[in-house]
Amino acid sequence: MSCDVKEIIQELENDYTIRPYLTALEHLPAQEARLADFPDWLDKALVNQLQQDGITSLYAHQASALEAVNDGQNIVVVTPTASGKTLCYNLPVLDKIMKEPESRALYLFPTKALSQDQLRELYRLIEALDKSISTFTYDGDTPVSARSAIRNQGHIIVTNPDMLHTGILPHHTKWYRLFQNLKYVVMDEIHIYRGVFGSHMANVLRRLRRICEFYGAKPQFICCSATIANPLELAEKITEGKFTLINNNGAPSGEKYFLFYNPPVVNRPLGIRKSLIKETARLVSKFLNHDIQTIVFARSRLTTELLTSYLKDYLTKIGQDRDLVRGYRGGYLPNLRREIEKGLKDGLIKGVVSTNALELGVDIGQLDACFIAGYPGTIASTWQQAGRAGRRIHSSVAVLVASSIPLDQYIINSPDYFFKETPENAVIDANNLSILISHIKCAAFELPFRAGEQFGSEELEEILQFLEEKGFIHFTQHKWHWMSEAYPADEISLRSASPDNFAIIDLEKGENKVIGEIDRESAPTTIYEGAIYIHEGEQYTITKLDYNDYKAYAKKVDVNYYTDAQVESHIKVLEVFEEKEEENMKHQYGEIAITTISTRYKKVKFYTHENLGYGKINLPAEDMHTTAYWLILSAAFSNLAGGKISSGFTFDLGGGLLALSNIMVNVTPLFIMCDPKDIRAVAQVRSPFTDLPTLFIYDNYPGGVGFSEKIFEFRDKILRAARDLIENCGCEEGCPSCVGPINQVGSNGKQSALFILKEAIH
Amino acid sequence: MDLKDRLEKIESLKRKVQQVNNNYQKSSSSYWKARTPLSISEVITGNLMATPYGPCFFTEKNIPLESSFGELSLLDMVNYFPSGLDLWIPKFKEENNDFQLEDILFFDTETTGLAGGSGTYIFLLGLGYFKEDSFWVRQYFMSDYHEEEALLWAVNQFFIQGFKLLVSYNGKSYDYPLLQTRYIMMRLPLQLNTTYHLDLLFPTRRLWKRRLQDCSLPHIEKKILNIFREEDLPGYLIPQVYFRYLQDKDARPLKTVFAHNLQDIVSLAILTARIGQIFQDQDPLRRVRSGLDLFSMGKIYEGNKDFQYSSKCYEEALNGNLSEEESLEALKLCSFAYKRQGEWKKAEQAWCDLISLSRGNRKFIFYPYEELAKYYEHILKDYWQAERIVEEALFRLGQESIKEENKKQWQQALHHRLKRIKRKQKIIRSI
Repeated sequence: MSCDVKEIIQELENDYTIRPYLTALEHLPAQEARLADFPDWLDKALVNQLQQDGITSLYAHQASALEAVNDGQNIVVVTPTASGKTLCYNLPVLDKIMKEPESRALYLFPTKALSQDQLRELYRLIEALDKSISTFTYDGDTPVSARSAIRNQGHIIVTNPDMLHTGILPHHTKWYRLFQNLKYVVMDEIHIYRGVFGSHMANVLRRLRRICEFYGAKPQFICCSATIANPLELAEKITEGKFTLINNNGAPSGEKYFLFYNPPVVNRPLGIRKSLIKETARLVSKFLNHDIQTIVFARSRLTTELLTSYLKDYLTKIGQDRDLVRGYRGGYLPNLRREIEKGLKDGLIKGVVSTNALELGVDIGQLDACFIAGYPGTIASTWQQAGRAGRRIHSSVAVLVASSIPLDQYIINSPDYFFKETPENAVIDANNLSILISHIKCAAFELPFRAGEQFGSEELEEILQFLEEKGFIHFTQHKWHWMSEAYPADEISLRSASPDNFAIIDLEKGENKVIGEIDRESAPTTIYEGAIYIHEGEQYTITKLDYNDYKAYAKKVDVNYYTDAQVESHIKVLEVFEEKEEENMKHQYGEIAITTISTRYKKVKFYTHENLGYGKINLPAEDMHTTAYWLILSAAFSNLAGGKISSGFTFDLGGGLLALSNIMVNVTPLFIMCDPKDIRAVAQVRSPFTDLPTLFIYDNYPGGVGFSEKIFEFRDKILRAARDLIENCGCEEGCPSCVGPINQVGSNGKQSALFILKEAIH
Repeated sequence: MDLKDRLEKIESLKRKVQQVNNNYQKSSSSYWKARTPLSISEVITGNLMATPYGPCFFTEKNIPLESSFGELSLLDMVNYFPSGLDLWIPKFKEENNDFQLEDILFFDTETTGLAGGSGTYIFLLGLGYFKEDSFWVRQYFMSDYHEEEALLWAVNQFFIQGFKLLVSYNGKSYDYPLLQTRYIMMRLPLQLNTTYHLDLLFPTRRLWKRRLQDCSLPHIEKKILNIFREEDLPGYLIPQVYFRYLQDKDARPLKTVFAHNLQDIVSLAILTARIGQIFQDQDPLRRVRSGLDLFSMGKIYEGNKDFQYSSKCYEEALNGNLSEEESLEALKLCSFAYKRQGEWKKAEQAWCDLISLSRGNRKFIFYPYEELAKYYEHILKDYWQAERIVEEALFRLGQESIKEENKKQWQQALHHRLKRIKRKQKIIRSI
């Protein structure tokens, strides 16, 4: 018999090895259901079936969603995990098809696994209704023999953005039945469509709307999103339509506890903490011991496997069946996954360790406890993972365990930031020139462009003329036609930041053994000849870099050093879009040209960080045009450099700027939903452009995708977060959890960065 | 920095695509020599057809039936059609007593690429048909994209004359769906109401893939029909020629494209005749010499449940030049074809041959033993012979190195059979 979660929380609070390291213990009270009647226009057979299934009324948000859709509005539904979101779209869609059997709907899910699970419920409902409504999944796994039947007969087509982009839109004539009768486009988890992926998605939808128009259809959009700061803005930007926000969650939930645990520091000067994996395993085992069904989220496959084996070992130690704990991740076969999902629902499995594969939609029922080993990168994801624990009636608990990276340390020490507001903004730039131009090619392939037509940017006509000059399209009688043998959709991946990736090949395993990929922008600093490349904990040295064929050849080695490329960056400011002048500094945002060249690399010994020597890097300079935010410090800072500050330390301008650039890159993802590697920073003690100390933060993607604009907008919050992180970090002179290691930023780097920040914040 | 510079910059990232295009252009640079452009009607003799969407250029050529192409002439269509057609279109002859050569439409397109999808256009569409003791090839051409509606409308006017059988090469998965796409794109009706579509790629593959691997039409022309094209334009260059023409409006290089398409249409007819000749009812074997082709024919007849002809083909194939592996396979298929016909003596001989062959190359095969045992036990009811062959199989199983899993399974089956045979022997003795 499992004990109540309250008891175990009591136990944790009384444990002197745990209590001091709990930085938050939040109690979220239970919420009663808020119900509403079925709308009277809803098909009676559908209502009857729902009632037979025990659904006697709707939740408030479901009713609002139905009304808005019936009223012809586009909606975006934002409610927590397990609040019955799927009914918000399944009911209007089924109702429409039952009333007008020719109607069609298109469901877009960002991942394949997700679509499988969301559909099971829909299938069951349709089967019970006993109406001839057909729902088909159309993706890369759909057998060729079944495709033509699906195209002609499917009422509901379930697919993903990639398939829509390469498989459906370019072949729209085969889908004319779908497009002619398309009433609804359903998009779940739209918060995933941000940054580069989101910018691509917005263009895929421009193409979709263009084709719908060709067939005379004007579908309504029904979107769902996790909780972010700007769901309405995101939905409107992605689809370029007006939306109604539905967020009056009426689903009941039991009370919930949310704990933050920061593993103790073991080396204060270096800021090293106890192992995330071992600490998580230690805490989870207490839950297993109490028979509390627990899900553990880990950030990587490797961590997942390690945690699983630690927990299995624990079960052996206490004389229980090792199979009570299971691992779950992407590489597992579908049958095994289904077995684990079922085991969780039936309660036969006590614990599961998963990558984020289980974060979205997969039906495993609700569990008692959830551990999040390492901050998942966004608050939205954290709540989605935490939502895996939470019974309707009983109480549940979620525990976030921090790793030592800066983002984790910020969150774990700023519970208010996490619990009080939703500061994350999903950002896209549908008019990023590189992305836009790729999709204009696809669109021209799909339907000729008419003179005067709109597609995103106002510069469309200029772009078309450019493409004509390049021989991709041909203009005749007011129309541009595709004039190339290429199939343009094949050249664009919606998900990768750069169209070209370098493949890293293990020489010993032969030409075809690709062990990893590196995007083009990162190649010069990570896979130059002589570089040590670390892959799943193994060291490799790059023996040859084939720059033309995008291949790097690696050989396994065992050495006691790592390599660090020394990069020179030259930044030219092309245009300033906006600026804000303050007392001691100036903020600007605009367009830059950046030239980076890696000239040599350092071999750095592990632990001691001794310099073991240099190697040459022979690579061409990389040019990129992108957008950037930059902070210009006044000459007063230059004058202070090298001098003593009143608080007693020597002001190190270079070290301080470097420290600041490290921390800014790390805290920015708190406000705009991007990965730290999506943005880059360059610190210049005296910038040739401004003549002053300047810190540039730029979008690490040609043309920029809108991050810099938002950094400019949210600069105050970002600077404050950077300050808080430095102030709350227990290290003495800098550590990887805040401004970066001392040997990089110097012994006064941390203090100097803090000094600059305090000056910057008013 | 103005937009154009930025675009240039981004474009340089896509140099991969450019490279591919450049290669095409380099390899075909002889086609692009600067000169005064000539229009299509100055290069190809043809007419303009008036349509509601403007004029459409087309040309028509008469090809006398006697003209020979390789070993055959178009007269052979008259001689052999529709022999063997039932193999590809079941019940064709039965359903079409009054079928005439005039009911056939040969069809091939030249397009702006092979990718398929709505950005691939048909710029030249060739049709072949018989009329008044002659063969005609009609080619419709669009001299720019805006003439597509006119082309499709004109082509449809021709289609609605009514044809029963459409003949193409890879048309089922390429040309025909593309044609449908084009009509949908232009919102025009497509009234090609042929009852049957013979895509020659399928019979060609079944007949010659075993021997030739490459089943592209030019390859088949060379190897099977003995047609050698002079100065032919390789198919992969055709889109580039057309794109070039769109830009410089010089139609001269298109001459080779028209010629290429015309030859394709003629080859469709010759290939249809050749396949008819091979399957001509009276003498299925005389014109095929390759053992592998005979083998392939055997498979085709077998698929059609015509075991008499299939065994005949296998027999002939075995007299041809087959590899050892192919021979074993042919003999196996032959033995089962005998069995299906009730030709037990021949089947028995084939199984015995297989056993001695397998003994020769020391590769154990199980099924001849099993088949012989079944034959002796159930057909001949010669239990002594049956027992002998089962014992022999068991003996050889013990000797040879065989995958353990199979060995066990076979041994089990044999022991089971042996027990039953012995029981039957006992009953007989006791009578």
